[in-house]
Amino acid sequence: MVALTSTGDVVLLGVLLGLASADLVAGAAVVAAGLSVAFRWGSTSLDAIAGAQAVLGPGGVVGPALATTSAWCAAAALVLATPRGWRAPAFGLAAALFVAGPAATDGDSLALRVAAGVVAGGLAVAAGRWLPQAAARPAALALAAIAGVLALVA
Amino acid sequence: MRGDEAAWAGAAAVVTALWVVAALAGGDPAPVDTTAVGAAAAAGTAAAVGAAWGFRPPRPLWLAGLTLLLLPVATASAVGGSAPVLAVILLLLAAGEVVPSLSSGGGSEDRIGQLQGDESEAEETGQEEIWAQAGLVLLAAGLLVAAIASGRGGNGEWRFVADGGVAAGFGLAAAAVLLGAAALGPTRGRAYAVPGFLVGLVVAPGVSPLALAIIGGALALLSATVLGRRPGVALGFLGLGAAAFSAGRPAAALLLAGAALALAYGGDHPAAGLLGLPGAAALTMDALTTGGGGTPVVLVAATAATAALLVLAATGVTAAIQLAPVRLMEPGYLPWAAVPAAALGTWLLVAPGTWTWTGASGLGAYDRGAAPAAAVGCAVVVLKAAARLREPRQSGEPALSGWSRVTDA
Repeated sequence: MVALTSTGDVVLLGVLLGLASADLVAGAAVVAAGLSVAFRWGSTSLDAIAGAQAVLGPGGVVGPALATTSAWCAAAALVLATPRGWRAPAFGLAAALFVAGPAATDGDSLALRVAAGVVAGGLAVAAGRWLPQAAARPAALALAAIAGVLALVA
Repeated sequence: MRGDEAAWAGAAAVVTALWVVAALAGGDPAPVDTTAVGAAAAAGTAAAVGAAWGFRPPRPLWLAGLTLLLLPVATASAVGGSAPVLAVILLLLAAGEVVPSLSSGGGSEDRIGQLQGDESEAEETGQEEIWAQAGLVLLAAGLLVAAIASGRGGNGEWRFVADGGVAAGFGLAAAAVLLGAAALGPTRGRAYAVPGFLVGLVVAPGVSPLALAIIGGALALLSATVLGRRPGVALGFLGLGAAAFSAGRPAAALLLAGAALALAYGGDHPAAGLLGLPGAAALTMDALTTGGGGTPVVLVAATAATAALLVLAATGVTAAIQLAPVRLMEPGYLPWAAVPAAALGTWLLVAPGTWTWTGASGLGAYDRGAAPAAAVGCAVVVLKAAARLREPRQSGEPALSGWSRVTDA
């Protein structure tokens, strides 16, 4: 619900997804990915992050290369940290919010948001089902750490 | 319900009502507006009364409670302190439980399962823990007296000043000792930490923010690992560490509120660490939006590391380096203090922005996200429980019944 409506706090979103993953490494990756997005946009408010993307453009496209790379790394970390089962779409929605999650102020932004959510949700479901979690979760943690460093440097 | 449990439940209800009124009032209400003088006088008086009772336990308990409540209040008022009602009531809670047990070997009455060590050995050491706790409380009272005295020597007034480094050092030492006393002794005595929190919030601006952040963070990490995996104590040290950072004081108050509620619960269940989530969110926001050099970075890093260590400790990874025992509730036992603590904890987790007395003003986004998330979470839990109830059980499979599991005959 938090990721779907982009309403809330990115730390809260990270902790909720971390709890949903029920795994230490995946949880750490998700929280670190959330913090990297907060570092990138300078706010922990999901409303502010979505609003900034509505004005400036999607997070995975606009801005310095390091910042956009950070956003993609954070989204990839979320997808890789996705657990199997009904929790997977929430991770995809959060990943979509990080790279293409503008506030739905008009039809274009709404369409972009829906498309990104569908794609990322599908990727997350597929990753949770088919990727070996023993390898995916450490990779997620590494990507989240890279995302954090890039966000700080950018 | 035993008499001391009734006293605990009644006093906890008063504390709950005070906090509810304080939050609804939306201002800076008197019950939580504690001065150093008032807190020191009340804590010292309560500790002295408790120590005296160690030699002649009072009966009936209601009379003992009144004495312990009224004497500190009167003393605090006499020395010109503001109303430290919250601190005094919580001291009452602690001493009302600890002092009677001094004469009856209270370690065995503390219904907490010792996960490590022999049970009989735990009973033998229970009495020593209680005396050690009482000794630490007296030490804290002495440190507070020293803080007051040094503050008066510096400025001629009965109050702490922002640059009063020596007085602030004594006050923070007293806060740390009270937190240690709360962690060391019987779990029902953990409310001793709350006066320490209040004193720490008052005096913290007198010391270096970065130094206090480093010390508080280090103590929090120790509390999460070698000192017995105690979420409430770890949150308390993090809160004290953040209290000197001017922009982080609302986050510190939220962390300390979470710590107080985690301690009131009694057991060291790792889930109690979640009560630090609002404070951690506020701290992260402070680190992003304000200056302050390395202090907020140290605090955020310490908070994240503490959370990770608590999870590692809960999964047994750090058990080899753990020096103090972990204490969890016995299955089926629910302390009376846990009921208001759980209600307040839920409130803190879902709507920390309404805790206006903490001064936190930027948690609107958190509040807007937490309420629907909690609603969806509750719905998921109910749906899963309903689905599980509909599943046919096989013979011999454990079934959930109330707080404990039972096995079909």
